[in-house]
Amino acid sequence: MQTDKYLITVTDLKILDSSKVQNCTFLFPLQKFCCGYPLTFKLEDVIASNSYLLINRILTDNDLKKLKELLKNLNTNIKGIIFRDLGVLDIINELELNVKKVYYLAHNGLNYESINEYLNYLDSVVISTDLTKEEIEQILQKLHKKAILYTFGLIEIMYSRRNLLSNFNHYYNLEEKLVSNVQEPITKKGFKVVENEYGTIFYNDKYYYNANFFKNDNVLFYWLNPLFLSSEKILNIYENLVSGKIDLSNLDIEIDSVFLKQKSISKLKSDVDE
Amino acid sequence: MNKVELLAPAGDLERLKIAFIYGADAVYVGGYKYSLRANAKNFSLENLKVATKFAHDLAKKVYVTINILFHNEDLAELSDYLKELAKINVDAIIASDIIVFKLIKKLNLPLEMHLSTQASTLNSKSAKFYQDLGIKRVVLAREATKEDIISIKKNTNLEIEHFIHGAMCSAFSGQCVLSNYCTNRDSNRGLCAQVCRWSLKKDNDTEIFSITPKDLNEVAYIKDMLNIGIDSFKVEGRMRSIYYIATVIYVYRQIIDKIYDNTLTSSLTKYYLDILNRCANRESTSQFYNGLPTENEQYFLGRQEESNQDFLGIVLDYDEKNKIALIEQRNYFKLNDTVEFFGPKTETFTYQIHKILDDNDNEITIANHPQMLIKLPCQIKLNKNDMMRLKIFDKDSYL
Repeated sequence: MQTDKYLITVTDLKILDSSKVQNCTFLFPLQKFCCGYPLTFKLEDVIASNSYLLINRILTDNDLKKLKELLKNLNTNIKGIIFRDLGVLDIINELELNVKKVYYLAHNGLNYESINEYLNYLDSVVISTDLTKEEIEQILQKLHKKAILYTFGLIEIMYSRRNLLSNFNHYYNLEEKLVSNVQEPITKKGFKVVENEYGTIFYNDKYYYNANFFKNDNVLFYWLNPLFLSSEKILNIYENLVSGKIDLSNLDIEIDSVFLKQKSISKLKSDVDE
Repeated sequence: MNKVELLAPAGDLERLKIAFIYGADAVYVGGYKYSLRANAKNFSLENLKVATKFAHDLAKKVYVTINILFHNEDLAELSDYLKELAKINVDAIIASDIIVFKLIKKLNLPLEMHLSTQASTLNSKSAKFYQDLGIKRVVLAREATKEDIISIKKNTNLEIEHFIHGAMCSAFSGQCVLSNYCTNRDSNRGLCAQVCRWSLKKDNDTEIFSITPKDLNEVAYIKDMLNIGIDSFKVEGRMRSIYYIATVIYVYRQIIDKIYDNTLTSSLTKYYLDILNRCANRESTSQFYNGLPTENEQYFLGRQEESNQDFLGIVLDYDEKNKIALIEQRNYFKLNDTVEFFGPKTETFTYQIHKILDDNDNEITIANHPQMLIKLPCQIKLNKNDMMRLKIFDKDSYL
């Protein structure tokens, strides 16, 4: 596996010191423009030679104004920007930034035709994790540009503009705590919940792992998003993958295919019968 | 002050007619496919034709939602469906998936396009992206604050549609797959199981809590919203009852019209607010309009609501000669109950039940069968589709 095909979110600064990942591209969640990441970075702290920025918030005009000022001073080591809000695309174009424009589709763009339409304006997209293996396969076959494949990490289940944990803590007069584990008692589904002043993200509590497309020519990057894992663990995962050991069961990490093997229902039986 | 559109939900033809009769300028409906309320009855193409004709005869509008997020398997019949909607001459479609807008343009269909709230629009630049694709109107994210709305209005020449009333999601609409994850029901293809209204447990606590938002209610800010130039006030609730739709649309119609003719008083506003809160059975707040919500805008221990049986009946006919109303019962009532009638052409009034006749003109003392037909003598003229409800609030005491 080519080592330069990996995009690794910086969730632990120690990872940057390791020579093992020197060919990788690092993704830095941008401070004030991300939600759901306990560690975020000012622009001046984005120092890796091959860096991408992550802007995963839905933004207001006021946010975009501040972002535009910030991005005027973009260093050349920043090769791309992954963004969820299409307003960012306009900023990049206005500033004529020499970066890859990548749309983080999140829960949008779930079919190949829609993604190809977006790709007319962009360099790449991050394919949604809401899809089955078969759907992703079909999408990768039909895209006219390469896509980023979310390969390993917690996946985003819900994004709110509300401060759901702070509100809970205020209501019960509890100490401020901005990361929590939450469970839905009937289905026993668990969540890792992360909040900052810009909102709250519910992740699933087990690590999504999509090992199905490592030889696909239409993948720009395999994105490893190892939230809450130590740098040692991250390096272990990376070393396994580049050496072709795609079975990660030896790493003592709870893995979940989430939607990869589970097609969601869009019609109830009664609808179908009609 | 601009002339605002009052936009109502309609889950079926009956609700659509009630919404128009009670003062809506336009309705939004789901077709038989590609709509996010798969559990609503929704509209066949035949019903859409009837609905559109009914609306156009009243000089009103019908918008059709195609607001699912399309998977590969959903694409096959989309072109044909759009062509059918164009033939029916619906007034606009509401969508968020780019493929819908692109197809309408490619097929050169005469369909006005509105960007759904599913696109989570909070800024003018993302709105402009879709404006360049041909949309005429944006339905803002329910999370938009007043400041956000003003900025989008100022920086685009798009029509602005904004939710003013109804249930809220915990998440940005379109940014949540809690339902998919917990129940396998696809929230972005019409089967949201509303997991954000379920009970949760935090860390190792044994106590349960919820992240359920209180309902949205912008009564206090309607005048302000008119002043900042919102073009369409949208009410949520395609699966709500005809009583809910009648009450909510009637109240907002009254408020808007009274603002225009400068007769809305604070005491009357308080009365309308009480009516709305009672009708929804839930507490409501203005949510994001005036800033980010705090702990006061959500429930932590499930929904603190009580269902009520306020809706007693609907007037089917009124015999002006004998002054008798024919009523279809919707909830239990009996002799000597104090009720009230209201309707688009009927000023709300109090009525004491002194006599009930069944449909064979026999005197009865209770009306206890759902949808039974009864007759009530009434000196004040009633109109078809007027509503009869329990009297809870005394309007006069507010004035």
